[in-house]
Amino acid sequence: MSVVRRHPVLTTAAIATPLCLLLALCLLFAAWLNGARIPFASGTTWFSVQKVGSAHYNGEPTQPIFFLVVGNDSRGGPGSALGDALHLIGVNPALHKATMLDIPRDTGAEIPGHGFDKINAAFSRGGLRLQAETVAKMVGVNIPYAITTDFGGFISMVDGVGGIDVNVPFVMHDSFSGADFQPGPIHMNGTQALAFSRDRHDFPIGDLQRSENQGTFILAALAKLRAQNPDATGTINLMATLGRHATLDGIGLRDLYRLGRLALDFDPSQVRNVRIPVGSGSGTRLALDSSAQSLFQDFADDGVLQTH
Amino acid sequence: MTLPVPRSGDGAWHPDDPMSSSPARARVVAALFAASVLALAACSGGSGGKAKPHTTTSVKIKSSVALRLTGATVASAGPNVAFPDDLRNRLAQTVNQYVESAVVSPLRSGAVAADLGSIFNADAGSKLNGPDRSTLTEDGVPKATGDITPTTADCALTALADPSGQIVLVSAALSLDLHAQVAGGDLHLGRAGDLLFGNEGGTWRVVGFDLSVLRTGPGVQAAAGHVKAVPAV
Repeated sequence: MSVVRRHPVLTTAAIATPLCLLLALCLLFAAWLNGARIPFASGTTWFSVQKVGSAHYNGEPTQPIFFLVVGNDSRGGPGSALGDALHLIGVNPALHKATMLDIPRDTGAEIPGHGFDKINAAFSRGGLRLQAETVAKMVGVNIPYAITTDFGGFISMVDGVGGIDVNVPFVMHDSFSGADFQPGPIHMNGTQALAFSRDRHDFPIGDLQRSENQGTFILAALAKLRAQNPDATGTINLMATLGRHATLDGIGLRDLYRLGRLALDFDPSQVRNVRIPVGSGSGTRLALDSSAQSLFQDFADDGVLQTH
Repeated sequence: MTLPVPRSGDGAWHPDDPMSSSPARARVVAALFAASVLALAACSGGSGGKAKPHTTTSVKIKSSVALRLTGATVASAGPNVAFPDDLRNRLAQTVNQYVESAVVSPLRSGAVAADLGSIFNADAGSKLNGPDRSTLTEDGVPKATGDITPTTADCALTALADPSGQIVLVSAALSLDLHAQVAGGDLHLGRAGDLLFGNEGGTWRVVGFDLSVLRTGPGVQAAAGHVKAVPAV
């Protein structure tokens, strides 16, 4: 049996190279923790914002404005994502009030160019723009801006802002989503927040309650960001952070700042979180309740519900 | 060096005086004349040119306020960017100009604020003609009769840079506290908040604001106010 003796230089290189790489990675990680900007390391996309309509928000306090927030179920792999979490926010700067309509994903709706289907299918057929068109048509409003995030982006975003304090309304133990909460205030990290927002098995009305819980979470996030960034300087710092992790389509950072100021200007206690009325159940196309049209009209005229 | 003086007696310049016919003498005469006029004007008290016995001492009122720039940082959505020196200086100058025109000048003169049109862009400037004016300016405050004394006059600049590193917005966080003696007592003016600057065709102008004011003292009409405007695009 022959013994192959390696050249000492090769032996040293074989040990030193991985050690150097490991050391370099550790240094980069330490630098990243310390706030240094590292190419590709800090560029995770948290969300995308798209100008989806021709209307503008021009800053006039008399002008109501509508935004669509979409949580899609993309897990980063191939395939078409669905718009599973749909929230239409109407803001009235003059009244200092806003309304968030929570739209269950199984709501039946006319998808422009694609016929009648579950409303969440619009996202897989035409992305954020078609999802916004579908919601806009159903409710009867113009939606100039829409924002979407996926599971990974949502987790990173929540972790990136230091977690969110949520007042959990009831016991949640759901192995599917990973939700495991007692009622009361909980400081949630990204993974916990995703579990809270996805849990539907703990409730008799399933996805309808989940949709409302997502609205609760959005308001909790708004309260946190508002408290952390009360002025223009804070908003600039927040927009720089968000801008590093956002894909902007049709709008610039200056627009994002403007919309951010509008959102952060609102006291979450002045935002009503309302699930649209649909028939109970899940798994099929849910029909809008007979009261839905009058609610939509009430909402569409100024972004605020006066009679509902 | 002693200045040449006319010989006593005839009150005229004599040809044998080495200064009497030179250009230097003419300059000296002019200087003496000017000094005499100035002295007379100072003693006249502005009463139609009639000389009166000088019975009061004139006091110069300190009425200028210079802001202290406490910081200039960039929050970037892209690469790390340093705050450009020329932009920092230009914006500091503009904020100083705002404070002088909108705050100090009305207090000094008792008149309305000077035209701020060159500082604000069209959208933000339109607010100067509406209800926001009473907060954006110190129009209508009593005229100062004594020094205008700043206890705080700070400004911090924070810029927002886009993913390419280009600066798109700058907030100027203002903290201003002034005291002034006015007829009837001491006037206190507090002003805090942000002026937001955007690049408007190469010129940085106020495109939005979020300002609060607090006024206490005699003759104050609007004791407090808070105005805000987001930048239009």
